[in-house]
Amino acid sequence: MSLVVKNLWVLRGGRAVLEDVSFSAGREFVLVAGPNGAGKTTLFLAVLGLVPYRGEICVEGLCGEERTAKVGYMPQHVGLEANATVWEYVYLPARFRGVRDAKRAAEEALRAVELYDLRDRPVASLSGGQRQRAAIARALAVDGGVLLLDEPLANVDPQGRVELMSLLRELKRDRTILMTSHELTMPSDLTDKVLLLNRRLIAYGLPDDVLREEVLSKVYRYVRVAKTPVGYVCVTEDYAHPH
Amino acid sequence: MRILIEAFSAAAAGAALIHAYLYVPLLFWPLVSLSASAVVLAALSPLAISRRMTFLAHAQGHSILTAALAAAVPTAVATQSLTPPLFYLFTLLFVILLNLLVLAAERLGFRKDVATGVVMSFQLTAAVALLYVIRYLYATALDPLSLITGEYVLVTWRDAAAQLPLLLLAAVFPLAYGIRYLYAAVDELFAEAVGVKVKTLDRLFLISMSLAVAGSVYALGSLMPAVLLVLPGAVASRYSHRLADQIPLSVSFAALSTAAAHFLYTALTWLWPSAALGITMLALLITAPRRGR
Repeated sequence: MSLVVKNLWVLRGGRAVLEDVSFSAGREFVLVAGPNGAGKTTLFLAVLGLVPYRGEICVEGLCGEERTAKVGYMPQHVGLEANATVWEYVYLPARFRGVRDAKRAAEEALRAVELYDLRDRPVASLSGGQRQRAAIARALAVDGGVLLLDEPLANVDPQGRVELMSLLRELKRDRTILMTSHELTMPSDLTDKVLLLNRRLIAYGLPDDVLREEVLSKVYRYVRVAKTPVGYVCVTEDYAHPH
Repeated sequence: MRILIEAFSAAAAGAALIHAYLYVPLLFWPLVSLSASAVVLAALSPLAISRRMTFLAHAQGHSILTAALAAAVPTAVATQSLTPPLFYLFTLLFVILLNLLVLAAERLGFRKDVATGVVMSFQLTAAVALLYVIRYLYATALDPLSLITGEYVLVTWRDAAAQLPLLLLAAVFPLAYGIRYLYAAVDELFAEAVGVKVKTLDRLFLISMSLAVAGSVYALGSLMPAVLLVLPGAVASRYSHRLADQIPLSVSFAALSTAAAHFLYTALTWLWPSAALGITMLALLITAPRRGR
């Protein structure tokens, strides 16, 4: 297994943000779902070693701090208002991480997301979809097999969404990808597993087993699920944040 | 563009130094001191700007004034004058203490800008009190105005040599960690995720800034270091969107401004050199191109 999480607890301000979460993932695409405050981002931060936690997290057999070198990460909020070119945005983190041949890694990552021709442009000039792709390229340039994507579909228009899904299909062939999303409508050929979180692990398994009204209703107030020939259409509403 | 600006700035700085050496030797060491101070402060400027520390950088003017006034008292007690090595040492000590007070105020739960404002309020109060103490006790030995404007024309090679270690130490941070720190401003969380210790760099930056302002105070005075911690970086950001260009361009514009300030001062002797430097910087900022996105 590429990613193994065992009995993970994260406490913040004396309150448990994650309680006893355990799961493992191989080379597959895992959709991490759950309402606001469920601990999705915290799970990623724990894998990256950026928050104190109890339990065990191993990436490709490495369970100490060194595991973070095997993880690529795309944060929820992509800061792009600073002075930096697309190339610097992608290449510099790979250099900081000590990636062998960082230049080549950045070049390949930019080519994978089809942004190589824009490498000299300021990142601030990119469109919403291009920004998300630049952030994915940055994660790819430093990753070692596990890719954590936090809300990559946020603020992406329908065309950008189609492009992003197509890119993720390519990437998941040789990687473990965990992606959080409030949007649970997913193509069935992309999603291998769904991890439903609400501080605790509510469900983890195949989309057919998790994306069901009786399962999702444990964490969402209003749920409607339909399986179509191309994927799952889910309409949900948080208990905590009704529209 | 960057190479052109760097070459032009280097030529201007060289011309100013040669001019001072050949035609106004009295101003040679002051110019060396001013150039060294400006260049090091300018190397820190893009870091202050990009990390949203402009307010903190401006607050340096207040910390350095308070620290210089506080340092003047023990220096005057020991030497009856503002002898640079001892004065620098005490100033540095007080600047670091005042900067650490900002971090301490943050720990009380204030945001960075509020914490800076709270400490600045304390500094202003202390500055007023210290000004009165200095005038009352050391009126014949110390001129508080020289702490504000600097002792430019009195700077000798000994003073320049005394400030050199502080400026060299201050320059280590932008040289060694400048790019990492600038990247932390692009995306702090991601920078941490790839192993950049952002909180440690924040502290090192504060210390580096303290070293630079303490090393500059004798020649530049207590207020102008704050200007040089902001304007060169602001000008640089108008000329390039490349992260790697920010520090070299900022340093180039500081060198260019110092050269221009020297010629302005020799032409208009009523214009104090550090003020001429600030005016040149503002002119560069106003005439800088608006960068398209």
